[in-house]
Amino acid sequence: MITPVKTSLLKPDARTQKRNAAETRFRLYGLSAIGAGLAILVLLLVTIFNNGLGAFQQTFITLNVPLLESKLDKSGERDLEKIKKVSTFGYAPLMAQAMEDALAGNGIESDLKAKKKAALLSKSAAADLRNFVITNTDKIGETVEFTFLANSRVDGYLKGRVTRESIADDKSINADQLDLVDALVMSGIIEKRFNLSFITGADASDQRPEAAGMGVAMMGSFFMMIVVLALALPIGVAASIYLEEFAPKNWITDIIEVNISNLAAVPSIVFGILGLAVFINYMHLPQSAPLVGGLVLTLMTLPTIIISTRASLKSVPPSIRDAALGVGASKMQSVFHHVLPLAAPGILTGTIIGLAQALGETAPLLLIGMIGFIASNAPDSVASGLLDPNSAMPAQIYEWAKRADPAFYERAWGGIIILLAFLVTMNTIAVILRRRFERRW
Amino acid sequence: MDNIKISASKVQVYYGDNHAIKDVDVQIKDKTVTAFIGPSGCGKSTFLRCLNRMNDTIDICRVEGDILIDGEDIYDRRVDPVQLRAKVGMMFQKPNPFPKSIYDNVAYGPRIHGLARSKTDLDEIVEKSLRRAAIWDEVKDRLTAPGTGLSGGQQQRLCIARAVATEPEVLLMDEPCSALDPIATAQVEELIEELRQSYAVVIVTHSMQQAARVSQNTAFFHLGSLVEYGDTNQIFTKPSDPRTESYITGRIG
Repeated sequence: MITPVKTSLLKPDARTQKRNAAETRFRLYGLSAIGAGLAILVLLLVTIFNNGLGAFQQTFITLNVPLLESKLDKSGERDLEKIKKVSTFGYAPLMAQAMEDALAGNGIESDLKAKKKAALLSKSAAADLRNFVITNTDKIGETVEFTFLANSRVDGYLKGRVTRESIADDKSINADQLDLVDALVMSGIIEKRFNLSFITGADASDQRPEAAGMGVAMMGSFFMMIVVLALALPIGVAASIYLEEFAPKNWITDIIEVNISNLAAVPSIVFGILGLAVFINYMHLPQSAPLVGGLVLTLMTLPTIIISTRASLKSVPPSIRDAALGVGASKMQSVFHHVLPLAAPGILTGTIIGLAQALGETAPLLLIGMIGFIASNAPDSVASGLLDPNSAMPAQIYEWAKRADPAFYERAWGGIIILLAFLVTMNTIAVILRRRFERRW
Repeated sequence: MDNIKISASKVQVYYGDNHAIKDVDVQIKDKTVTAFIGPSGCGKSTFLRCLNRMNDTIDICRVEGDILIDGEDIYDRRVDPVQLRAKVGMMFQKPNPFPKSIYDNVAYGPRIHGLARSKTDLDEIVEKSLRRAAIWDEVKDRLTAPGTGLSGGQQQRLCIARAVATEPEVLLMDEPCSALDPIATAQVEELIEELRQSYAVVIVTHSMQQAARVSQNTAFFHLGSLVEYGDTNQIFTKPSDPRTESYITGRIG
């Protein structure tokens, strides 16, 4: 038996001091855990923006191109079929000429060969010009100001990715060409601008990273999300309402419940291989199609939606159900008139978060081939429906990250920024919906 | 007795293995307030919920015996509980208005039962119900305001209005005043006296004073059995069972 010692309240005793010290230590652990989390988040965002913001800017070369009738439309009939027969090779001399004119006009001297000078332009430049002429045949014979994409090396040089040291082994560009670039930048012919076609454009081949964009992949993701929303929301909500409100509580429903929770934890690549086996190999749905992608992502999203819907149904107080039954409403009336409207904000939030998850999912899409290479975006794109081959945003990012040219690396980071923007928007909408429609009782 | 509204005989209720109500026989008169009293957990609320089959919503609950309303067995296979509950209205311990407007709260029952032929009809039913619940004057200018914005006593009277709007024949009240202050309680009690003119009212209460004030008949439940049932005055002045006496004098419960 310890006899209590009379102590003063003004001076904390040893035990109190020890307890207080323990509490202080615990607070510090907590703070440092939060600090570490925040630091990692900041690091992540800084890295993403540092690496990716460059993709939203692109280097352009503005030249006055003489669209000589003698080269583009010898007959002078403006017959579209005949104009289309002129391949991109037919445009190359015009661009070379335009480059020479620009140099002469600005008093820039260079002893590079014309071909080397024209190499500053993107490899897609001739095709861009040809497309322009085909849609504007009335411009043939005039000299038009045309803005060409610069080659990715030139772009990299302006962004600091390509330096005079790094091009030592590079066959695509040499120091003399970089001198020319410097001169053209001084005279304002080469400049960096915001690049809308990175957001709206289609993917481009390995040779032309400067022309690659996210637009088609965005369409693919959009189509998939429509499929997911159209299937996962009604199926998920119907399943949850039945399980939560109508199903008898017995071992069968218990097993279903446990398995839905398990399903939420299944690795997404498993859903991918399932989609490949069932939807493509067995049901013979087309490969690379947003419909299949959407079906696979629906399977993946369903458990998320069911779990969150059940949670929000559960959070509606039972007194509301009693009240409805008490005035003689049927079970279904009480659910649809009272419980469901009250649970709606929670259901919507869960759905949006499920969709956001699906939007960022890559692995299952790789297995079903949602990495189609589509060279042009809507309206001329082949990827205009649920059954056409397409790509998806995260798959496109993965594609770019795989390619050798560091210019694609920048685009992969840029793609991540676009994807993040979508996710942040969706989550914000979820939060706003929850705030606005949350009822209190 | 010709004015028996509800007649229960040999009612047994089981929650799983738990025998919650044992052999209850009770005759409830029309146009009378019948109070169920007893200590917590004695089964009075459970028995009340049998009278409109609210216990059906509890999976493990099983009811045996006969409960007749106007001579019809409400646990008959052919009885639809939804139809039954339109006839036997219920009010709960905690005021539970729907998170909708005051008007919609009252209009909900008539709407789903198709009691109103037109908007004017419905307006009339709403006004009449709110008047009967003695809350019309307080809310007539804000019928579109949410019912959840009212005070506790007002909410409970709104629930009464909601219950009477469907023109029930029996009104079950499960401790309607336990969440209310004395003034609101007095208002609700006055209302119960009014409602008795048209309905059979069954009220579960923890307050013996309340039972004595509002009811004509009282049933005392203890450990799942009906110990004593009779005229309120007699129960409170000359209880025949020693357990009843102990309870009303405050020695048990």
